[in-house]
Amino acid sequence: MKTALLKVENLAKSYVPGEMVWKHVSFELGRGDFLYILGGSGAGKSSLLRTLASFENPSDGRVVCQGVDLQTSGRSELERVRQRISFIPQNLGLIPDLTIQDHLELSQLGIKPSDRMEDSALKNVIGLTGLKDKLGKRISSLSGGERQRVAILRAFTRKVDLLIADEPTGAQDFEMTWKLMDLFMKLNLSGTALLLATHDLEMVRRLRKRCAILKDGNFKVEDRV
Amino acid sequence: MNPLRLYIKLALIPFRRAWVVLGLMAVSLAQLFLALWFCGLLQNEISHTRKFADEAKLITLQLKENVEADSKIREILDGQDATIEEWKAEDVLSKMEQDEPELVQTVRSIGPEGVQLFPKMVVIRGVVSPERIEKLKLLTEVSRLDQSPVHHARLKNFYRHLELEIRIASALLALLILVQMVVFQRIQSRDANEVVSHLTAWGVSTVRARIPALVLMVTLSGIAALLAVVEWGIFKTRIWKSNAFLGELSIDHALAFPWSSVGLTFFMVILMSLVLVYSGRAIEE
Repeated sequence: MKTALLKVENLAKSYVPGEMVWKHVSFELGRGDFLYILGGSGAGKSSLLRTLASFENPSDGRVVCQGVDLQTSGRSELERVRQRISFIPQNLGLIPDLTIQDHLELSQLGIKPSDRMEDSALKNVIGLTGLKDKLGKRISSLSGGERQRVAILRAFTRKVDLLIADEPTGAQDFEMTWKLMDLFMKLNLSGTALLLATHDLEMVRRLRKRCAILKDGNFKVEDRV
Repeated sequence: MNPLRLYIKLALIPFRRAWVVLGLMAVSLAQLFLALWFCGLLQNEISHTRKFADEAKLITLQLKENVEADSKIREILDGQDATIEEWKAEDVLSKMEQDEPELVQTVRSIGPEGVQLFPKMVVIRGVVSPERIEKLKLLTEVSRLDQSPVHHARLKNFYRHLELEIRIASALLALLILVQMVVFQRIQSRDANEVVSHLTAWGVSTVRARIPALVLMVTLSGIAALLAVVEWGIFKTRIWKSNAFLGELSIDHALAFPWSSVGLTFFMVILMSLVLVYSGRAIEE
């Protein structure tokens, strides 16, 4: 039996007292697992992912990542957990004044050299994302699709146990979407657990992976869509 | 990967985004530095002048006939804060003319022999240590030595008050610098929080994540200090130089750079930067 990398127990979130954005969220994710979180716009996917990635606190329940309870852990434990997670937020979290190269280096700042992605593998990912000739360009000069690819590329600069991505291919064309999904699948095959939020039902159907549906504040895990 | 280069790049983001505001901030901070250093300079000068006023003496040396002792006296007084003035017989007569006109007239009527009756005098004004005075007494060329303190009661009183007022002004300027830094920290807090949340999201410790904000504060203060030094140089060569007409009262002769004030300013700025950057919690930390 796989040990749980991420254990979510009865999680609930509310911004206004009495109004739950989502509730009773419980699931487990082991090493190499893949879980889609499917939901419409405004269903609460982003807030759920931010909570799972330790950037927001839940109103109730708990998230245990790599044995660390994210709500009660100290700063150093949280730092250690974040070093083993890559998170691609919906707003991408890029600094417009910095270049792509700066972002790649920044994401490697807090980790040991052994936890960095090998140069050859990283070069391969850079080539696949089509950003090879733009590494010295500032984020502010890139298009929306390119910025999204930078955020994905940045998540690939380190060896992590869990990658959480919030609609990572929403701004890509069909061909690029599948190139990027291929990258995610390869990463998943190498043992990294993946948690991807999307509202693209077609993609979920094609990839035939485990999926959770977030609808009307309720969370339900399905084996297939 | 060079972390220092990244920290500097992150630190300079607010300069890129709002260079006019930060430029004005640096210029205004430079003026406060300059004013504080000028107060430091005045304080140094005043304490020096007060010491002079407290300890200054008027020493009169009467020399034996037909002797030269100028170089020996200067050698003994080397390093002392004192002026040496040699009075020949004619100088003594001129000084006496007002108080003793008849005596002076009588001496002059005798002719050159009469003038030679007056001994050569050396007048020393300033701060001279007792050991040096003893040495002067032992000179074979000196027949008599008289000394008396110089009283500067009004001057001493004025400088005592001025010193206190400059201390108050310095404290107020230091307060203004601190307030300016708090305002600056508030202006760039959004950019700083963005950087902190970005770095901590990738597992960088909060102490390291705040380094760019600290670098920015120190950089801004450094630019302001550089501007203040340039202004100091300009003032020294172009403006304070004109004070020379004040003679002894002029400060242009001793415009030593107030290193102690500059050191104190930097200590204060770095301490304040550390407090501002590392106190409180940034958003999403």
